[in-house]
Amino acid sequence: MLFNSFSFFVFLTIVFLFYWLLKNQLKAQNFFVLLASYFFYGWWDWRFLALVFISSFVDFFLGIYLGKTDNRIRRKILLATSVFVNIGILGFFKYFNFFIESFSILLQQFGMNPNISTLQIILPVGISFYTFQTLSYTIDIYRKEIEPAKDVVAFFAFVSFFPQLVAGPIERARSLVPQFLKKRNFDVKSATDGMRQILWGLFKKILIADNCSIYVNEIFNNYQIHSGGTLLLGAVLFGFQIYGDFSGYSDIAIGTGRLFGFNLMQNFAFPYFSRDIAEFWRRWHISLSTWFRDYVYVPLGGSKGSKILQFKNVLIIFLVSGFWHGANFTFVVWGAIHAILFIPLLLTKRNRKHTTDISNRDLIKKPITILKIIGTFLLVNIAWVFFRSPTITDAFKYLKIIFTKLTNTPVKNFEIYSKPVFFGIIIMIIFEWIHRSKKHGLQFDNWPMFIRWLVYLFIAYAIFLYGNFSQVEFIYFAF
Amino acid sequence: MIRFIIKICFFLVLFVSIVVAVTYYFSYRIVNKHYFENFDTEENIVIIPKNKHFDILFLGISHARNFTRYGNHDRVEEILNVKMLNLGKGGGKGTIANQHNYLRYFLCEGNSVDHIIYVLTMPMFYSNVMDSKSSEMALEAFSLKYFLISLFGPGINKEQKLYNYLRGKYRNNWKKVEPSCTPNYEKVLGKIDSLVIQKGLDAAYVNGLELDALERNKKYLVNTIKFVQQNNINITFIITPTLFGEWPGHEDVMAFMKEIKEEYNVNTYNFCCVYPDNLEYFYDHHHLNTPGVIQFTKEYLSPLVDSLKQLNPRKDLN
Repeated sequence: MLFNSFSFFVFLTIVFLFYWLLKNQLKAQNFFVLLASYFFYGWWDWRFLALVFISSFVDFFLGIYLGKTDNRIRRKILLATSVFVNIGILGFFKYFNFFIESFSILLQQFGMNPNISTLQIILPVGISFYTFQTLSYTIDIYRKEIEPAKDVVAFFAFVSFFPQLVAGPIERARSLVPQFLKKRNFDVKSATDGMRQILWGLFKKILIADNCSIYVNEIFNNYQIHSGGTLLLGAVLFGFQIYGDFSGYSDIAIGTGRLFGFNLMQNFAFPYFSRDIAEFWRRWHISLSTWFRDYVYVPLGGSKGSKILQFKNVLIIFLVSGFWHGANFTFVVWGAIHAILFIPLLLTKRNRKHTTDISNRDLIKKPITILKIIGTFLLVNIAWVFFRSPTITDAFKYLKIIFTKLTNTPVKNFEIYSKPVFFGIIIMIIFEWIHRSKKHGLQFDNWPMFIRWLVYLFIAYAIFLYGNFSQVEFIYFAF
Repeated sequence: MIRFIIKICFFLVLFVSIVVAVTYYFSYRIVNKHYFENFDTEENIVIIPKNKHFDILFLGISHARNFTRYGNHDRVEEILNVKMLNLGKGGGKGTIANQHNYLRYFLCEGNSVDHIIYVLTMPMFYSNVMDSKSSEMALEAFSLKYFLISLFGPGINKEQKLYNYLRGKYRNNWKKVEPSCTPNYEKVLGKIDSLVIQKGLDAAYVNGLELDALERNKKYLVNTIKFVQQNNINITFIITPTLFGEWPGHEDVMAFMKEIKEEYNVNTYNFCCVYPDNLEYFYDHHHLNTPGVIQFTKEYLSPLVDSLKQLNPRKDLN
């Protein structure tokens, strides 16, 4: 069930009404959320519900045992079991064929001709998200940062909570589990803002991302016949597509969570207004980057130790992050490019230079800030070429054409159908710039009601008029 | 909570009202600028008349529409000596579900017809893709009646189709469409090319023979037959000629049509192999050109229509 489908809105309406009918019965409410979440996930393929169940079951009981024992070796075994199960599920479904194929290619390099066949494995939707979420739970208990959950329904509901089950934000148990354990009251202000955030997410997904995808697919699939300028346009449009797609999903997820009285973490903080790559990574897919920071980077030593150690840690974190996105070397190269852009900032201790939002005064005083933003955006887009291309060779060829071939070969029907894309992007930039210190692009509590409603109607009407309603799947479902 | 729900409902009502109002405004602008007869344009669209009687109604995809395209409408009417209307829709957009809805809408608008000639093309049965979207009557003003018929009628991907229908009223393309049509189309296919045939079949059956689509479309067709018979209209199915003979999936559909004959006494006439080598009648491997339409109408449709007159003597087709 896609967030941008009619069936989701029917589902959401029914679940919302029943959920609040049970408002004084916390356990019943949690059980209902669990049922609704399993229904939501089963809508794709009910067989994969078993994976969500196994992941929840294993971590719930491992958590209980971890909470009961102080024996170091036993605790390590329990943690290792959790890592083994979750990474095992993820590894099998997502990376098995990749490793087999890579191993086969490696053997061929040594003159061997192995006859290794791969398996036909379907990638379960959102597997990278919920396995990471449950994994963080057992690690936190192991570190004695949280107590194990005792309410099995609440824990299972935490793992499978439908707004963020398939594409995040990857919530931490310390933040979300307590919300399942305390009584939730309906807050009109929060729910209203949740609706605004959903509307904004739909705008970014249906109008921007899905319209961009038409051109992006055309340009990337036939990059050999296009000019350098067209390919640059394709890369920039992909930058907006992936942002609209993923941040749009996060907005809908967070907004939906708020309708049910939950506060999910902010996943995007207007990353394309970043002034350098370090700032970009504090603003892009925050729940994943902080996950890697807390559970990989810091245990490796973080930014402590020698420069070489710091270099190694940053490289590892970006490569792993790239690999998390998909079983393809293109993602690893994408991660490596970001590492290369990030490391100089870290080594010169400028990686935390921009930790606050850009103020209007900054812009007036230092017009170079605009150049920094544009420069960072272009660098990010160059890296996106690797993310989007099917192979590394294709990505290099794509970039080569951008820098060498400037003949004019326009995209098919671009003049006719590109208006909605540019209209949407400009509207998005304006709204997000205005609200860059807020949680989302439509968070205008203080505007007069008449203006607010006019804006809602304008956004809704723009979606209706220019949106691409062919229900394109969210890109991050594949990760 | 109640306040919140009221607010959301109010917003939705306000939004829908604005959409409907603007849609009406735009679509009536279209109607005021141009009025097309159903046969005045080469577009893959249909315009439903009001309160009119027709002797023959064609349904189907492009193979049905072909009896109207390229000025063929007048020729076929003249040869058959009937007044006819064509709701066939090219580009594979006819689909069995859509045709059912058009027919309902046609009757709802106060029209009547004696005989339906339903041109069957096998991909109509087997393709889910074909039913995925449709540009519906883009040159007609917004009709709530049609919207509701489609909403509650048969078909898959209704959301997408209805959305396209609504949004179609905002398009500017109508400015470019003039009420004129090509007077004839005499292009002749040079040779039978098996590679081109295969390419065409691959495009028509994107995912092969989709059996779920077949089962669903069989039900839709039975519904159409029941609906037609309830309205005292005769219906006859025909399969138009091709240069490659039978379409993939032909046998199963014909077996089904045999069941239809037994249960509903409805005939199917298979003309797919009547012109196996007559390239002069085709502009591609399965579409008749103008001479082909004339020849086919004289040779096969005319006797068929005569037999329909015999079948239903209470109505004079003239």
